[in-house]
Order: sequence, then structure tokens, then C-alpha cells
Amino acid sequence: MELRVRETMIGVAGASLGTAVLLLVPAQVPGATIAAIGDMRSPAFFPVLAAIIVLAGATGIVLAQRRAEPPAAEAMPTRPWAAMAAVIAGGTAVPFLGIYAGLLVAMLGIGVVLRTRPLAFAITTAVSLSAVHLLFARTLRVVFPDPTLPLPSWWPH
Amino acid sequence: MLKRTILCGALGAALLAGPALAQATFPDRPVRLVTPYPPGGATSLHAAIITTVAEPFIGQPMISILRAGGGGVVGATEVARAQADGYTLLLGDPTINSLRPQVENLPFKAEDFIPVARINFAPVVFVAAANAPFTDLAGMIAHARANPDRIVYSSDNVNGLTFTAFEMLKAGANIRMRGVDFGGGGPAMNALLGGNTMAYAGLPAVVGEHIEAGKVKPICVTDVARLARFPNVPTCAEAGQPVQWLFWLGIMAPKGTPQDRIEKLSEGFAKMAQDPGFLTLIGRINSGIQFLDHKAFAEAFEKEKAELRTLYANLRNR
Amino acid sequence: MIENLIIGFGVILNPASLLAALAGLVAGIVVGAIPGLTATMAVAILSPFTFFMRPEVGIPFLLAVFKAAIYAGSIPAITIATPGTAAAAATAIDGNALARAGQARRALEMSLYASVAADLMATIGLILLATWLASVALAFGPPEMVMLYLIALLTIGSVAGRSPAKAALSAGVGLLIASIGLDPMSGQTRFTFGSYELSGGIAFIPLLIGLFALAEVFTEAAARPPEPAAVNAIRPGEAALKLAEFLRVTPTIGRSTLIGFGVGVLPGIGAEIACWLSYGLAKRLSKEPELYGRGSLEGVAAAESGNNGACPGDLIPMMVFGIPGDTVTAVLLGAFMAQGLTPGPLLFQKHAALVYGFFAVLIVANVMLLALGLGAIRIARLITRIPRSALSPLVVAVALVGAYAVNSALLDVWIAIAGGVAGYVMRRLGIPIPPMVIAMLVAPGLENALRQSLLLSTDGLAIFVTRPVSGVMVAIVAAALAAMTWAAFRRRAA
Repeated sequence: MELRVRETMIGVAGASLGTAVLLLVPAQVPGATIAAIGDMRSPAFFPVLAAIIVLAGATGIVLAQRRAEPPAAEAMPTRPWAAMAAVIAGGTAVPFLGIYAGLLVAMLGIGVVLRTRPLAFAITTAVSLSAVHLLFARTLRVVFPDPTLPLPSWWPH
Repeated sequence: MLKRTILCGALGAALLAGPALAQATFPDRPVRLVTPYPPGGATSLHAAIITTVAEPFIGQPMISILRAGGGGVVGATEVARAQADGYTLLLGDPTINSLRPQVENLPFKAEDFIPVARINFAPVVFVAAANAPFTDLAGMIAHARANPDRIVYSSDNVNGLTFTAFEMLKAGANIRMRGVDFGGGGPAMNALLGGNTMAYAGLPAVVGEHIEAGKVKPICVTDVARLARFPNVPTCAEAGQPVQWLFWLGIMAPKGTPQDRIEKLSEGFAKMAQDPGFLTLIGRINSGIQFLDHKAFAEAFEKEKAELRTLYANLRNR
Repeated sequence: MIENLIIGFGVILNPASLLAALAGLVAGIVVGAIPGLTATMAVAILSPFTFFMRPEVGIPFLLAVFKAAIYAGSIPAITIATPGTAAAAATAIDGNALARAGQARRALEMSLYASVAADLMATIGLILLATWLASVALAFGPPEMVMLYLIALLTIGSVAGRSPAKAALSAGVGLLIASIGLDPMSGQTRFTFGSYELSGGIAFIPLLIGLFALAEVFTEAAARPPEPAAVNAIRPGEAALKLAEFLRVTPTIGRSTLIGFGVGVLPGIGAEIACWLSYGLAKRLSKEPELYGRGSLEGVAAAESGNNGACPGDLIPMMVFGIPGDTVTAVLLGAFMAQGLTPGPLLFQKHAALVYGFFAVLIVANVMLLALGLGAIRIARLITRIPRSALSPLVVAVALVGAYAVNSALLDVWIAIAGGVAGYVMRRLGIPIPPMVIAMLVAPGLENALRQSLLLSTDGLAIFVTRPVSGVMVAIVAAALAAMTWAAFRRRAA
């Protein structure tokens, strides 16, 4: 995508965010309106100020594109999105299958995307899961959520 | 066919036995005690001591968690919504557990907690900054009358411990002073010690040591009798304004926690409250123990709800 | 005082205390080096174990954990662009840039030497000036804190990169994220969309983990072709840090330590903000500002001295007043009380020998940290030889679990994942991440202090100029803003 178009889109996205926040203020902050920018004691003062800063930044980005020459921009690769999907899948799996299964899902996905060699992957997975169990579950006594799907009692969770 | 049935039966039994076996003894892992206020106030101080001493009486280590925010609402909400299995407890008080849920629109109700054990029940001490232009209650009231809204005191949160104490004083003496919310006793004391505010009202655990060191001036105690530790500090009634405000700190569990676990915890805390080591530590922070087990605490809690509602209505109508 | 210190050394120069300090340092390094494990968590979990030890054994252990964790956060920050603790976020920028340029060893060593030097100087400051500093710190009321937070926000100018507009966007988004949750003073919900989980706000550490650790893995996935060999490996024979290089940054270390220590003394503000303040000032005063962000050893030194200088400062309000400034010192307070030591005005009178013993052990631990740190760097070298394709799944697992472990909340895992996506997108789009981080760190404190100042004031905003200290700080902020605008103009004209 051409740089200028991309930058303008960032600006537009930023502007939409800022405007959305301003519009949501009356609903999301009980008892306040955009006019809160004038009253520093109101709970809405900071969000409104932040939204204005976002708008200012977005405007600045769009304006800067007027002057810049468009250099060649690289296309966005697709593999990071696959990596993100893997992590999201892992996160989604955790409440259903337990923490270890969820982590395994995420790690598998990442391994596939990064083309980890099988032996290295096996070692990494073994080390990670044991580290998580020993360090977090045993030593730090972090309590992981119980999986909600009916699973056999030997399923680690 | 028979084999398959037996196999399925065995599998089914194994699946069912799993969760039953997990029941075992309570507690089988550490218990979390949540303090909903910033560090340095009476709640976090007591939580520190309780979690230090509790292990032999509860059976598992107790971990102190500080979850400040929204004047106590964030921590309390977290416990209210936590799993009701007895492993997450709140160190609560009448303002966050009783007064505020009744008069404000909070994400939880007073009924969302079950009283487990009341640890103490103490009055607050009004104190003034070392450089304040008054040294006793009469002086403070006179100064306030001469300069309405000019005396600034450290407050904690709207409808909190200090807030209510000052509201009662202001209503009774018909004076006007301004409070600044600092979120809890720790930051409030900081402001007072730094001379940024002129007055504060806090539990002896927070102000005691500073009174002893001469850094703040005690004004009066909101009880019917003087504090043993500070026999020279008059009660507010003696000093001219009959303000009585007793504030408890107690362990609260989320609604739905099994009754046997509540009882086990209550017994554990009862034993802890008699332990000499615990009492020594409590004494070191100028506090005392006025223990109530879960039944007595629950009764007192119910009675107090109505009293607090009335108090609030009276203060709003002045 | 010297006699007291000598007595103090006598108290702790015994095998048990020294062993405890050593064990604490090791534990602290492990905790600090794992992203998602915070010093607070470690001290909280380990403190009950110290209750049954003698005070001169248990307390040095915890103090050592605290110090070492703040240092060790820089190790993953430099090697895998993932700060191990929030205070190492500023180190990650230049540290990782150096690592990518094949200079990981020098960055790691600079980080160690700067941290130890800063800690030593700050500890001496603690010993000499604790009580005096504590009363000075008290004079910092809400208006002064507002000014300090504004100065911290100004450092965004230093890390803005090429586009001030994008930096503003980033900072604004950071402020918005910080507003989600409950309003600190009225308790009203803000932008929680009815969800009670969000009423606690967006937890900072999980987001930081996502922005750095997960985003780094996603960026790794974008590299074409994926490197089979390690990118950031410390090649054998890689140059170590030269003495001359270290000496050159000594003024920066001195200044940054001063800033870190001063900021650490103030309650409520700690190493996480101190590192940015030091980094920002160092860049302003540097003779090579263009290197900052691209691999400046001076930048690494500034950030690390800032955060380690804050540790001894952090202890002061807790020990002198018994009023802890943050959660770590609140846990330490509990540990002190369990040992029969009640921090506060009377602590120094009643237990002088022990207190000076703790001071002595802080110094001894520093020296030990130097040795242990060099060992940790050796191990870090080995880890960087592991190909990124094999290391990244481990990083993902630890990041997700670490995010969960902060508050035992699944929401935090999702915050980390969202942070990862956001971090990746921001990097690709050239939107700088540090402004957002700084804004998120500063916003809650700033808002609180601002509202408190207005409540304190009888004449509105004038309170900021009528109070002397605050007035001076207003002048500083105004001058800094003027200088920044002037510099921007000159660059535009050039």
C-alpha cells in the first residue's frame, strides 16, 4: 500500500477513535459531557483531554502527508497474522482445555509459523511447560482456571 | 457386553471420583486476603500482621493482596465476584461493606459478602498537623467558625472512614471544612505530615506512632472512653462534641462460600486472635482486638446496616 | 553515624546473613529476568518464609530480591526486546538495538555496571540522608506531584522519534487506556461498557508484556526468511565493554542516579517512571542524541541507573515514616513488623543496630550483585545462541502465563494478546510505543494529584504558582516547553 495512503488511513483511524471517545463520554461516564474539558474535577476531564490529543495527533499525521513524497512501501506480510491467530487460539483454548493445553496450542501455532525444527520444538515445549508448572504452579502457587470441558482426570490443568 | 459395561462404569466412576477427591481438606492451598485500599493505611497494616501470623491457625499461608482503586470499590468488587470457595477473602470495614453499598450505586451489594470474623472495633482519633493553629477540639471548632471552608483536612474517600467522621463532627458543631480525598490512610497521613493539610481522623494503628513521636497533635477520640494507650487524649464528648464512630475491620467472604469453610476460617481466626505473638504485633501498631466469630459478627453486621443508613440520612439532611 | 554503620556491618557479616543475601540476589535475578514476574510478586510470595528467620537473615534476603529483580529486568530487555520488569522498558529500546547490532555483550555489561554503580551511590545517599530526605519528600504535596508528572510527560518529547504527531497519537491512546476503569476519586465507572472486569482498569504489566514480548514474536514472524540461526547471539570473541567507554558515561550515570533516587523517595512514584525521566534528561543533555533509540550505550546507562537508583529511595518513606509508597514496600513493611521491627519515626531509635545492619547489607549485596550479574550475562549469552524459532514459543508461553499470574485473571491474558497485536501494528506503522507507555504510567498519578490539588486550593489553578516548590517546577516546565518548541522550529527551518 502506498505510504501516503497508509499514513492517511492511520490519521483517519486515529480521528475516528478520538471522535468515538468524545461521543461515548456521556454514555460511559455517568453524569458528564464533553463540556467536562472545562472542569478539571470531573471524571470525564481526562478522557476528553486524551481524546482531543488523539485527534490532534491524527490531524497532524494527515497534514504531514500533504508535504511528504511517497517513497515505496513494502507490502505487509501475512505470516504475523498467522502467528497472532495462533496466540489467540491458544488464549481461547485456555478456559476450555486448561492452561497447559492452551499454551500448547499457542506454541504449536508459533512453531509452525516460524518453522521451528521438530527436535528444537519438542525441547522448547518440554522446557516451557515444565517451567510453567514448577515455577508458576508449584513455587508461586498461582491458581490456573479449571477447564470447563469434561476432561479425563489425568488431563493436566 | 458385560466387560464394556464394567469398563464404562469404571470410567464413569473415575470421572465422578475425580472432583470428589479434590474436595479433600480445606484449605489445601494459600488463601488470599485482599486489602482494597492503598498501602499504609490501617487496613493494609492489619492485613500485613494477619497474613504474617495466620498460617499455623488456618493451615495454609495467607497472602496479602493490595488492590486499591475507586475508593475501595475495585478490591471489594473483585472479592465479591471471586469464586466462593473460601480462598479469596476481603479485609472489609463498615464503609465499603455496609454504608456505601446501601447508599451508592456500587457493582456489589452488602449481601454479596458473608461475615467471617471481626478482628477489631476501634474508634478514630482526630489529629491536627504539628503546625496547625489549634491544639484541641475547641480550638479547631473556633478556627473553623472564624474561617469557614478554610481548614483543609485529609480525607480518604467519599463515604469512607475519615469522611464520615468529619461529616459527623461538622454536623454536630455546625462548621464548614474542606476535605481532600487521598484514597486511604497512608497517603492521607503523608499529606498531613507534610503540612499540606491541617487535620485528619484515623485509626490508632495509623496515627498512633506519629502521636507518640510528636509529629501530630491528638485532638479527641470518637468513643465513650479514652484509649488506654493515650490517656491524655480526651474523648470527643469530653471535649465538647459527642461524636461516636467505631470502625471495625473484619474478614469477609464472597456470598455462596460453603458454610463449613466459613466456620473453619472463623475458628482459625478465633485461635489466632488469642495468640500472644499476634497480640504483640497488634499492640505494636497501637491497635487492639475485639474479636467476634462469624455468627456474632453476622448479627452485629445486620444490626449495623440500619444504623448506618440512619446516620447517612441524618448527615445528608443537615 | 559511622560507628552505627560499623556496628551494622558487624551485625550482618556472618555466614547466615551473607548467604541469605546471596540467595536473595539469585532469586531476584531469576524473577527479574522472566517477563511477567514482578519484584512485587516475588517479594510477596517469599516474605512469609522470612518470618521464622532471624531479622538479620530474613530482611536482607528480601532486600536482595528487590534490588536484583530491578537490575535483572534489563537482561531480557536487551536480548529479546522484552523488559523483564516494567522498570526495564526504557532499557529495551537502546539495549535491544545494540544487541541487534551485535553488541549485546557491551549493552549487558553497561547495564550491570550502571545498575550497580547507581545502587551503590543511592544506598550511600540512603544511609546519610534518609531522615532529612523523608521530610523533604513530605513537602511534595499534590501540586508538586502534578508538576513532577508533567515533567515526566515531557520526556515523551525525547522518545517521540521523527513524527511528533504520531507520538501525540500514541500518548493520547495511552491516556485513554489509563482512563478505563473507575474514576479514582468519585468511584464512577469510565468506559467500562458495563463490564465489571474492566472496572479494575487495563492492567499495566500484562499490556507491557504484550507490547514488547508478543509483538516481538509477531515481528519475528514477519522477517523473511526466518533466521534459522540466532539473530542476537553474542558471538564468541565479541568485544567487552571498555573501561574508557564506561568512564565516558559516568556523568550520565551520576545524573540519572540522582533523578532515580529523588523520584524513588516520593511516595507513589517509583522505578518504572524514574527510568524514563533519567533517559529523557540524558538524551537532552547528551552530545550524541541522535544515537538514542538506535543503540546508545549512554541511553542504556541512563535508564538502568535511573531505575536502580530508585530502589534505595523507595525504602525511605517506609522506614522513616512507616508509610510505604508502593506495594513492594508495603510487603516489606509486613516483613519488618513480623520481625518485631515497626518502621516509623521510632525505628531508628529503638533498633539502630539492625537498621544500620540492613544498610550495610545493601552495600555488600551490591558488590555481590556485580559478580552474580557477570555470571548471569554468561548465561544470557548461551540463551541467545538458541535460534529465535525455538526460543519464541518459550517466550510466548512465559508471556501468556506471566500476564495471567499478575492478578490471576484471564482478562489479563487477553490484554497481553491485544497488546501484542497493537505493538506489532504500531511498529509496522511507525507509531512509537514509548509515549504510550509513559502516558499510561503517568496518567493515574497525574489525575489523582491534579484533583487533589484543586480540592486543596482556595483559588483554583493559582495554587501551582503560589506554592514555592511548585512555582519553581512550573517555571522549569515552561522553560522546557519553550526550549522544545524553539528546537522544533529551528529544525523545521533548517
